[in-house]
Amino acid sequence: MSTVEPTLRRPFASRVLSGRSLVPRLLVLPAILIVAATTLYPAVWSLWISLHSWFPSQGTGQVWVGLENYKDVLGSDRFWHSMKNLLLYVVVGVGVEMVLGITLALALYEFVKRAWLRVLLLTLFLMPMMLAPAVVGDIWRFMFQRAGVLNYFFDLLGLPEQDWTGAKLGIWSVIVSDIWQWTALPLLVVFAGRAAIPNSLFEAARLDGASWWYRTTRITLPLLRDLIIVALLLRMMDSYKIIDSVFVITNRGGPGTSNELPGLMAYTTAFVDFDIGKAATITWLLGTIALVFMRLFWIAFRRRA
Amino acid sequence: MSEDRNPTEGLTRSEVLRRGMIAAGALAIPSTLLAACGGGDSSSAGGGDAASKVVALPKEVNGRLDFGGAEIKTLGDEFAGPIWEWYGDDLAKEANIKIAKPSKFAFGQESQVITPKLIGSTEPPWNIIAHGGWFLGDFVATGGLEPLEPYLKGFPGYQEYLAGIAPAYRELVMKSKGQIYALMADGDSHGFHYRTSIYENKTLQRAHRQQLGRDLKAPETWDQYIETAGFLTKQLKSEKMYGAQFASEPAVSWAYWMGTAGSLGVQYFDADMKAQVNSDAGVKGLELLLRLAEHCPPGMENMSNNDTVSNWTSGRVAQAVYWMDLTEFDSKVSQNDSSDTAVPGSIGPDGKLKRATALAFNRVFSIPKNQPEEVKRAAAWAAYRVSHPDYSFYSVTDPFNGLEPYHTAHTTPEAIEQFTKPNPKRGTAPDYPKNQGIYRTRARAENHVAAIKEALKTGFPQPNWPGAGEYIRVLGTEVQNAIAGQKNAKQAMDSVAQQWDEIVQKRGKDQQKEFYDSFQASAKSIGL
Repeated sequence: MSTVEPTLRRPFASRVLSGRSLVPRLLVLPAILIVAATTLYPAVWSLWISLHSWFPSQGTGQVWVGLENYKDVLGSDRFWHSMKNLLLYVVVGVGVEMVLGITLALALYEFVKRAWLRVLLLTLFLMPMMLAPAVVGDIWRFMFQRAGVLNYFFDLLGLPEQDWTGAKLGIWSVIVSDIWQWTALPLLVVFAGRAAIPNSLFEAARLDGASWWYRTTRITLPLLRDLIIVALLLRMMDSYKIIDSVFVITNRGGPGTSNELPGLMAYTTAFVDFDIGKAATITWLLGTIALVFMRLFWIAFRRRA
Repeated sequence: MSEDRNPTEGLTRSEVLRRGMIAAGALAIPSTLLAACGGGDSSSAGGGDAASKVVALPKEVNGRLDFGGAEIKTLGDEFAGPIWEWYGDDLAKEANIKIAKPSKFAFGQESQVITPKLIGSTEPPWNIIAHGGWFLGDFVATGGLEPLEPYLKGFPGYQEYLAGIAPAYRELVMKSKGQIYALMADGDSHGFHYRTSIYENKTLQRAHRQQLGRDLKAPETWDQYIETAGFLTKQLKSEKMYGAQFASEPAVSWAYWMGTAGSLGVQYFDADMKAQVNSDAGVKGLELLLRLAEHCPPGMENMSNNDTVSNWTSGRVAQAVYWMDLTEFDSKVSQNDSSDTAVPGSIGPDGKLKRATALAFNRVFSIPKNQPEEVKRAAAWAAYRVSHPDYSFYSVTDPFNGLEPYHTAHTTPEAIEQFTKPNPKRGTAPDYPKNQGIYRTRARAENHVAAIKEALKTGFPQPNWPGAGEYIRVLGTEVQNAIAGQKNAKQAMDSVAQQWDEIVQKRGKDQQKEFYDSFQASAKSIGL
């Protein structure tokens, strides 16, 4: 009597999923779909919209205009003035934040030896970063206003009152508030990075007679380079899209458009004028310029490294 | 009139309504017939021939109109005042309408807050919106506002109500392309305000006469105003007082340009819809403001509307062109040291003085289209009643809501009297802690009302066609750019003209021309 072993067929889904090359792809597929739906599709859609004239507030549809919006925006003084403000904001604001943040982080690590004091100071430095930018804007607006505390001290010192949010000083006031809030980011990153560097490296250097300055410039900073770049890129990415604090401090980029940044210009164009095509154009131009700028920066940094 | 308005006589309201019904009989009868034919008590107001339709009122129950307890949600800017809180109970008594706690938005934010809710087919979260009149064209263009004539025609006394509204407001604020889409809430016009004590100061009078060769009194022209402002700023320096002020923030700065450039004869567009704001008149208008700014308090480049009010109420400024309610703010701080008169003008080529009083902002009530018919009807009724002199008589004479006269009933001898009396339709609350008349004396109230009447004769209307919000924002921004020294007057107005031309193109020249021609025809028809 012969016996026949029953052949068990695995379910179809199991067979498909057991394929080595397919499984990883299927596992990441949901994430890819979500990203495509929430990021890629809106981005491509906004690129498409930027080639159209579209005023939803008039109840009209989208009208193809090709590169007309790009021509308009690139030919507008207002856009280039806002880009000039942005450049100032990024170079000075982020630059000072990086220098201050790195300095404070290293000083905190090197010179504050008591753990409780370190934690306390670190917490104090981080507190502004935990506030909403609009709240920070409000706090500084009160200080910058004509009857504010800054002019009060100027008055005490016998100095003339300043229009801190006026056409000449407005962008600088925004930069000051940004430095106050965001210096903590590079500080945190660099502090964490410094804490991760083995002390043995510094001990060896010390035994070889390396000074503190030499150790910092030849060991600490080179080892922290990648983290510093990450912090810098994060701040730059944050900076180019800033709207809230400049909106609050300068009363929507004013006086006039003197302190306007491109992000705010895009907001006004989209949600005040409801010129959605032009607003999409501004965001694409801004995004492209920021990407090119950051890519060039990255290439230059890698080459130097 | 004042007897009918006694809030303690609940039945009087019903009698007033009935009398109104009879007075409007010719229109009430068709509306009733229409309702009967439709088998119900309402009919749609939509459609292209909306103006010819009539929406009937609901039936009366126990001698009062009954809107079935419809809950009406209102939206208004932060300065619109608490009128819905004040009159909610009265509306409930007279028509069984419940007014919900009003929603507020920041001054000047109409397009961001309201426009998105009017687009598409979803029901907006408010049944009545109070907004600056210049947004009417924009909102009508969304297709999201209900034409109101069909409702008005069903309301008792609507003809008298409409006839009494100042023509400039009726034709250029309530209507878009000839059709009524809004009811007046606030008749905003500029006026010239001055400190009585400064003008009556003998030393200043003498010095003014010596230095400028004329008496210290309200200036006839902008040039005189600038001269006197400079004189006062210099003379009153030790008291830290200034001869003039105006707000430079874009939300309001455009209105001041309307006054100066309007007096010089500026036109918004020519017949081919080419912007004319950078004409000689437009540029000179801005130059007048730049000259005036030299004599204003420090911080002109960022001077907000709120700053100008607090400057005035704190006594820092001796003269100001501002909306007519500026002197009303004084009554809240018990100053009453101010007078109103007509705004300055300019001498034209014919040698005659031409004034142009900015008719700017002008809050109105509109009804969003996408809501149930019975709610729209109740909302239209509530807006009509609050706009009607039965209620607005008290609103415009009360210092706690910033609403100004727009109806003949607001400038009668009874109204002048009411400016000195408490508002009988409200009590007090933390937001309106006092209940007193705006003015202490009848003479002062007469002065105020006379200035308003004068202002309406020389009104210079704000844009009200689709895109007005954008045109005005551009104008206000460039005026502020010039005040901040970013551009000179010519550059600023050239920039305005260029941007206006772009707006015309992108919104469609034909549509813009159609609306603008209608605007001009309306203005011409009422002699503006």
